[in-house]
Amino acid sequence: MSKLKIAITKGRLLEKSAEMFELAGIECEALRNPGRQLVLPIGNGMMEAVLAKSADVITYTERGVCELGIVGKDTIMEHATNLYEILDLGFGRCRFAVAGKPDTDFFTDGSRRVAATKYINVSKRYFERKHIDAELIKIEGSVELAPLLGLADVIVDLVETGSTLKANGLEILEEVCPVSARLVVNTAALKLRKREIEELTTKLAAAAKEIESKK
Amino acid sequence: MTRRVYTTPGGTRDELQGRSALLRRTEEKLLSCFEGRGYFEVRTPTLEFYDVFTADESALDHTKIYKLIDGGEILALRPDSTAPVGRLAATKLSGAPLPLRLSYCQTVLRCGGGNRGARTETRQCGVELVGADGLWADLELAEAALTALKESGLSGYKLELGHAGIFGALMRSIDLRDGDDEQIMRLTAAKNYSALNDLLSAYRDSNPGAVEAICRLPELFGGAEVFDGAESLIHEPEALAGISALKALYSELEKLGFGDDVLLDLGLVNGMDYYTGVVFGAYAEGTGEQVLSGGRYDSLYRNYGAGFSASGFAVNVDAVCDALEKLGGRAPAPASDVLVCFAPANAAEAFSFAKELRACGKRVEIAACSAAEGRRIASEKRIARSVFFGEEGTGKELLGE
Repeated sequence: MSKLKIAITKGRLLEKSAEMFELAGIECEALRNPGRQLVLPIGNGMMEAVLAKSADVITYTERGVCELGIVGKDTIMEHATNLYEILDLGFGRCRFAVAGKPDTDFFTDGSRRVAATKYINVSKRYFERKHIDAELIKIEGSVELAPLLGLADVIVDLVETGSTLKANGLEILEEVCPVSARLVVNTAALKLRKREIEELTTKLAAAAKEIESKK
Repeated sequence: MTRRVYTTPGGTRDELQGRSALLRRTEEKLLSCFEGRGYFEVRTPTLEFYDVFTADESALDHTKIYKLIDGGEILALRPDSTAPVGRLAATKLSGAPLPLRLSYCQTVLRCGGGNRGARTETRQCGVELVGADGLWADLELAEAALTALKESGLSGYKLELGHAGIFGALMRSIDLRDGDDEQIMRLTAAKNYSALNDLLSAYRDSNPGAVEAICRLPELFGGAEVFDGAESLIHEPEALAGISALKALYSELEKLGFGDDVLLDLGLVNGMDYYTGVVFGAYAEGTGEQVLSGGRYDSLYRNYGAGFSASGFAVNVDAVCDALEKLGGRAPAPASDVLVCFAPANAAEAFSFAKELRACGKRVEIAACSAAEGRRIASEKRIARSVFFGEEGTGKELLGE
């Protein structure tokens, strides 16, 4: 059998993941200083970490080229996935929210409603549930600009502390749902390599809990 | 406008000679495995009425079906073979003696997923067992599935078994709010333990035993030890009937020597509105995709006006070939065995010689060229032998040996 490969979302989640691996007693020196290398040995060479953008973590894990992945619930929600989402790691916690200028009457005003977002599918499902046929505009970068410039009435975005919203004169109008980092597993891999993967997830679950209790 | 004449749409692909030969060999092995069990091939049209696939209980996501309008009728590009073969069996073969054993080997089309590496066009080779149920029917299918996996040349494969009755009975014993049932099914299928726990915590008072059982169901996968866990956890009579059906099937498969190739997953609940009994899935080394799926769908035929019980499975031939190529290397392009070259005056001689060779099972190419040119072509095309008929040789001169 080949080494277990775990795809990890680059950025904030990578740092927390490294902390979790250390607490779980899995050597991960390489994750601390990854440099430009994208495939890194961890667990004293027993496993490989693959650094990727969040949506790619899902693609790699779903297609089975990585057995496991660490990715935010936001990305899982945006991409319909066929994966086992076996562990809520508890870190990377934030929430999806609808935000806009303080006086925005988005939910009761029935006239044309425009929302800007990076998360088209999440927004579509959310507004559908609320029976609102909002027009969605996909924005790639700082979504906060859209209501400021008058392109959209509101935004649907991830909010962690809310300071970016505040700095731009926006506020949360409604919370959609909380999100956090998840451990996902390829469906075939969980069955074919059950023992290895279960051993690993037990350790990671304990470490994730420890991180959460320290907060 | 740019004319798109150089490529194929996302999710589709051209298959070159090597892969095509591998696909065909695999399909032949599968069909002959099925035929050896009395399952004979039928074919259904690529275009069907959309209604065939929108029966009340459907395992298919309707947004994944390609639809066409023809004269006001909605047609669908076949997204699955079980429904059309069911339609065929319930209508054209309704008078045939039961059980009816049918096989098929055809392409199914599902839209979406093209740019994530998923196929929109897939070769499926499978069987339908119509008008038979109970342990022996389930065993017949499971044995056929395991043998098909083996004969297709896969390694490290596992057939997993679940039972729709277990989850179904547990769900019915709880008074669920609208929409929660679908959500619970989704979370169970995704083995999302924590969200499942959160959602079900609201129901703890209604039927604590059943709620606890549903929460733990996704963990109940693996070997025979799963039964011990399940029996201590589950008390609903209908759910227990599902477990004992599965247990009986598992023990018969062990007796046939398949013990090491079979896994259990009581949390296998995809398409649970559709399946009514045992559910199959299979995985193999070298691919992250399911290589086989199926189960029992006793209410399906009602949609086509017949009351037959039915079950079956389909092998995903593309996924099987992916796994074979991943582990065994890319399938090499096939080459002819002999190149027969000739000078204009010797054409008749060359053609009849080629005919003789073909009668012996050789793959023979013909070329009107000189002996030297023939040698060059043969080496370029990896043809082991070339033969020249002409004045410079005296016929049947073997070259390039």
